[in-house]
Amino acid sequence: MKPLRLVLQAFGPYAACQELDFADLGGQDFFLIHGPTGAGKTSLLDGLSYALYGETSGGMREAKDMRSHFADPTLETRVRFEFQLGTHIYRVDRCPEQMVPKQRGGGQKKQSYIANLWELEAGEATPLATEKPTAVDARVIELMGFKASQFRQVVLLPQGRFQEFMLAGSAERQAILQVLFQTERYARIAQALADEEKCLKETMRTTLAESQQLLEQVGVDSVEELPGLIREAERRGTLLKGEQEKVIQAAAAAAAALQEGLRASVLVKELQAAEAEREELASRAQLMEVRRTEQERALRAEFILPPARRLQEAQDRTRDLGEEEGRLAEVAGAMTRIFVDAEEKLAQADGQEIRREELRRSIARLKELEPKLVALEESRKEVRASALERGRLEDDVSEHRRRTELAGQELSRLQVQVQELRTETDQSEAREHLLYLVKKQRGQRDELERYWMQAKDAKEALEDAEGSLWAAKDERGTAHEAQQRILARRQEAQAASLARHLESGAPCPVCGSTEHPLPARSAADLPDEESIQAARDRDDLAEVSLARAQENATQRLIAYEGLRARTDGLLDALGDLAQQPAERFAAQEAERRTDLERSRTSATRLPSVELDVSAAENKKTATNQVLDASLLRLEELRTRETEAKAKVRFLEESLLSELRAPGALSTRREQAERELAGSERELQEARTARDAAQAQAQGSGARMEAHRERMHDGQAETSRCEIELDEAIAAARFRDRSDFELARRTPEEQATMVSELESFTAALQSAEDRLTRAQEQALGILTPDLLSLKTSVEAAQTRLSRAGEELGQVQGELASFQRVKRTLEAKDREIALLDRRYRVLGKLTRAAKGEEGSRISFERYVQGAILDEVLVSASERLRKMSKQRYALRRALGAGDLRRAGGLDLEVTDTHTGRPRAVSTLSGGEGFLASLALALGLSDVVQRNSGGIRLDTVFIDEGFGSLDQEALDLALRTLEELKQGGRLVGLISHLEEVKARIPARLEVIPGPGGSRAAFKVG
Amino acid sequence: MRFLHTSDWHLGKTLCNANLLEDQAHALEQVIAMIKDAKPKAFVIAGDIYDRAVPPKEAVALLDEFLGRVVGELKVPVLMIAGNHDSPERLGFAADFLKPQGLHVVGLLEDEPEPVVIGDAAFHLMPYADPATARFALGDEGIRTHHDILTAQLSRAWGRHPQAKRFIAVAHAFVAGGLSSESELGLAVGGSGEVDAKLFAPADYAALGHLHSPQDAGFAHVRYAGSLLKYSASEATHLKAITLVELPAKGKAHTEPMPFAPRRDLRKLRGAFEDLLREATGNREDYLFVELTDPGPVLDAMARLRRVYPNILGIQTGLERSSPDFEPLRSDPRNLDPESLFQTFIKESTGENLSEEELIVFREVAGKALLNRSAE
Repeated sequence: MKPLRLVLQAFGPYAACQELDFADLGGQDFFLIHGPTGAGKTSLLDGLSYALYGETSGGMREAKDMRSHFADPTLETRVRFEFQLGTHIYRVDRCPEQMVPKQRGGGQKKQSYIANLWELEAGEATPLATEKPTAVDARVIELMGFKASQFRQVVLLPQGRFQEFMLAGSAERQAILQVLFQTERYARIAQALADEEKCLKETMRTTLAESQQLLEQVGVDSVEELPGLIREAERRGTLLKGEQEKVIQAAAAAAAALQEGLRASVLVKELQAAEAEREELASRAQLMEVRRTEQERALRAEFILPPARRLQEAQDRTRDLGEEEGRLAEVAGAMTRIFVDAEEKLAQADGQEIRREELRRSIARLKELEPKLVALEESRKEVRASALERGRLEDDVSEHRRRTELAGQELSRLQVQVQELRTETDQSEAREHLLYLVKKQRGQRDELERYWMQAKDAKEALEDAEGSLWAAKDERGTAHEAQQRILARRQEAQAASLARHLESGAPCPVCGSTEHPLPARSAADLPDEESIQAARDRDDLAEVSLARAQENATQRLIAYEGLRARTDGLLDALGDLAQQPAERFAAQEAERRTDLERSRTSATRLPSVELDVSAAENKKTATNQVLDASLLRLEELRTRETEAKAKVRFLEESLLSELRAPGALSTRREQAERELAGSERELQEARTARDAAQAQAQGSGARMEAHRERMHDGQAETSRCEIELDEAIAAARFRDRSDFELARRTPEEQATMVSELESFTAALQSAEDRLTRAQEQALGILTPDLLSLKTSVEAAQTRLSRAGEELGQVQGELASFQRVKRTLEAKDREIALLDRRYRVLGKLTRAAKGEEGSRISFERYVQGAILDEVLVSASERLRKMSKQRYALRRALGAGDLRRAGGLDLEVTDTHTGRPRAVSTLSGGEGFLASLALALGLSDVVQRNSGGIRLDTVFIDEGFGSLDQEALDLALRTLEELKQGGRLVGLISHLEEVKARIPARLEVIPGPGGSRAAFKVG
Repeated sequence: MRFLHTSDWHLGKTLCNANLLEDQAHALEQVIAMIKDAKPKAFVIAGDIYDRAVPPKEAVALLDEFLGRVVGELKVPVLMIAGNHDSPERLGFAADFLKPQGLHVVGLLEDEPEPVVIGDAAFHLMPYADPATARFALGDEGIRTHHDILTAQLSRAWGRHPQAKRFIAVAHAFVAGGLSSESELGLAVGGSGEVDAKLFAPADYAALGHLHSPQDAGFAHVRYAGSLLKYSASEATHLKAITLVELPAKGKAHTEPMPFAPRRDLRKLRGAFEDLLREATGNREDYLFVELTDPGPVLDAMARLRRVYPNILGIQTGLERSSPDFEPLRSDPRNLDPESLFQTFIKESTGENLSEEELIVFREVAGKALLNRSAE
């Protein structure tokens, strides 16, 4: 899978639309995703993983939580990823469930989770799965070849979870190997063997059952009885065959006798038939004579035919002539009538001459008026044209007026804008100064705050110290008093004791007086030296404490005073502002800053706006000019129009009202001309008609005369023909015409009679011949008895067929016994073969399913071999990266009898010589081992053709757990991959890694989200 | 003109978690002795002074002390350029101020660099830069490879070379014809990192850095001084030295290596575990890469060997190539047909081979099963 383009919108830290085109790597296949912590590096891989599988790269961040907090609420969260698998390019698009603003009204609504998948080819996108995320997921898994969890172990090593594949249990690892290397076909082979074994068992059972059935069919219990039955059947067959021969011979003899009898009866019948025929013919001879006479008379009548015909023709001709005469008479009458009518019409036409003269005069007058009418029309046209143009021009004028107004407005607006900007710009210096002030004050306020706090603390301390001072003073007072008291007591006691020894008259040791009016008395006794000393000590101590407390209090006071002084100073400086809370300062500062910005912006914009103003002025002037020009033209046009209207009025007055309408004059003239022509034409036609009718009447009379003569000739002819005919009839020996008519026959009738006579003669002759022949043949033959002959033949046939049946039955029995014997022998052989095969399959199946031997199934064995291959490749790299210390191999625990075992991993350590579990590797070592393993897997998959492609590897962090040397080795190992044509992407925040890899994808965090861009070289 | 040429110090480097700073300091002491002995007019370090862009503080202190003694006390001018491991900005700190004192450092690539003239020679200092930086600094969009960069740098250098002086180039690059070792970071950024040796042919001497083995690159006067110490297993056979260069007023340069005696050498050891444990050959304190010839794994090898050789860096066993526990299939299992796979599987699982008959049956059933799938 090679990534082509990734687009993240409002996803993770990418607030806007972040597009990454992997072509920007410029063919580099080793690149680093670099950026500070939290910038969004892993989010890129999350995006990629989410686009494909709907899950994030570590599987830990919820996909729903990926919406960017920085994003604009109108921008929806969406991820789009275009990638290449082999020669196919695909695009997948996902929008997670999220709240989007409603289109109408306020508030938000929930947009549900949608996903789409397309295949891209030559710019065309063909959808493969639409809308439903589950369909897209299934399709992606199908195309990629593995699921998200497997993706995370093999293609994308996520942060903190790269060790999954290495630490996975055998079952999990088996699943991945199965997917990557398609080993399930070996499991299928094992299953096919088991199925075949079962199938064979079934077949064997069926075959045995069939054998049993066959034996039952022929009614034996076992195959041994069959030979005896066969021999018996053969013996019976031979016997029956002998009998059959005899019967055949008898049947043949009976058939021959029957044939003889049939032949004799045929001859006898022939003789009888010939005799009958001749009798019949003789009876018809009489009739034939009559026919002959008839024929002779017809022949005679033939000669008289021509004259008869001639008579008929003459009669017909006469009739025709008569008819024609009648017709001719009619025609003559009609002609006369026509002539009379024509004469009348001619007289009428002559009478119209007066009207014709009138019309001629009118026409001439109208022709004179034509030219004037033309002129009028022209003038009217000119008026119309003028009006039209004036209308157009008025429209133009109003348009130009509008434009001039707009230009004026624009100019005013721009001038106002310029004014505003100038005002703003002028203020910029002042604003700068204000900003500076506010900043200073804010500083002071903060300081004041601090001092206040400190002063409060100092005051408390001072009060503490003063309290202590008072206490010390008290103590001192008390101690001093106590000391005084105790000293006094001592004195008293001493005095008392002395007093006790006082005698009157003896001087007092104390005052020397001899009188002792008041001898000291004391209730107390002498305190001992210890107490005195104690009191003294206490006093001293109290003094010392007091001095210290005094000092302390003084110091605190000084401190406090000092702080007070400072705060006073600041308060002076700030004045009233001291009361303001600190946030206000910050707000003010921001305001002032904004103001300053505004001023500066205005300054920049000012020149361009001034330019706009002069442009507007120019425009206004120009539009004004245009307006003036159009107004002028309008005036001219108005004048022209008025002139044309006057001309029209003048012309109209010089024409009659009814002729003012265009075309009225010419219509009138045409009407008159038409009437005249018509009248003249009528006259001419009447004259012609009358002449023609006259000629016709004359012709018709002449024709009648000629016809009468012809009639006369015709009648004479007819009489002549009658006479001729009578003569001919007498010559032919007929009595009269009717006799002649009777004898006539058509030629067809004559021919029929002739042939009839001839055929009768022939038939008679042939009958004579037949009779003669039959008599010869039937000489001396008797009539046979056919019935009895037939009966004996039938009996012989019956006997024959019965014999055949019996023989056939016996032979059938024999054949079936023999067949059964053969079949049973074949089945026995078959069973033997099946049994052998069944035993072989049993062995193979048990081995392939892992029920025997080393107790590993075929599939698991192959997977183990593949895993070894992978580990060889992984160990090579791991050795290099761990300075020859570590290698990976399969844990082949002896006695691992469970079929699910065999794919566990362990690490060999050259330093200790003992293998270790992979979970005992340190963090950094574990990372190197996982990396080597992932690369080893991808190596072995690469060697496969047409399978799953692992040509991209992403590694998310993990380098931080390596020391300098290990990092060196790891990076070197990854660099070597460049030759393999694989794309390797690393995420790391280490500067060291950044220095080594030139092709980078920099992720830069900012206040409004992160940005990412490729930087190569 | 006599001067010393060295490069690739990699101060502060750790090798397999062992800090080499002490050994580097020891070597630098020897260098100072050599300087006192040979009295050169200049001391040239051709790049990779530090191992990392931000070196450890002890390394900085070490360099500080060294430069103080050489430039301050012995008054020998030192000329340094940044290599691909150094950070140009950090290395070039206060370069302008230090110049008058006799310390000439060029960290960042400059468009118009001034050569350093000492005696009758002009040294042209050309620091390492990647193509993107070079494009920007030299204002030339056509620069794509390191060859392009050096071509540009050399042409500018020739442009400013004072007449009648000998031309000495100081550069950090992978010149074609040189042997590389494991510890050099690859320079291949956007294409081959190699530079044609002919570029340096017209110079009187080219003091190169980057490759860790002392060697000539295509010409006798185009030379790598080699690294200060052995920095990887593949360098165990190198003889590390500084190059003393004598360039007479006319005629060819003459070079002579001045070898180091390191306090702790870096060696490769090979042998059976018990033997190695019993007798230690050479200095036990040396940095060692050990290859064990024992046929099976050895328990706690590293810990026990470390008791004898405290600075052991790594162990390698010959085992990884063929373990008796499993025989991996030598080719892609999917390219083997299921039949051969099954035969191997049966052999492993039950210990017997498949008979001819069994093979035929399997072929038939498996063939059908696989066809059904491909028909789906």
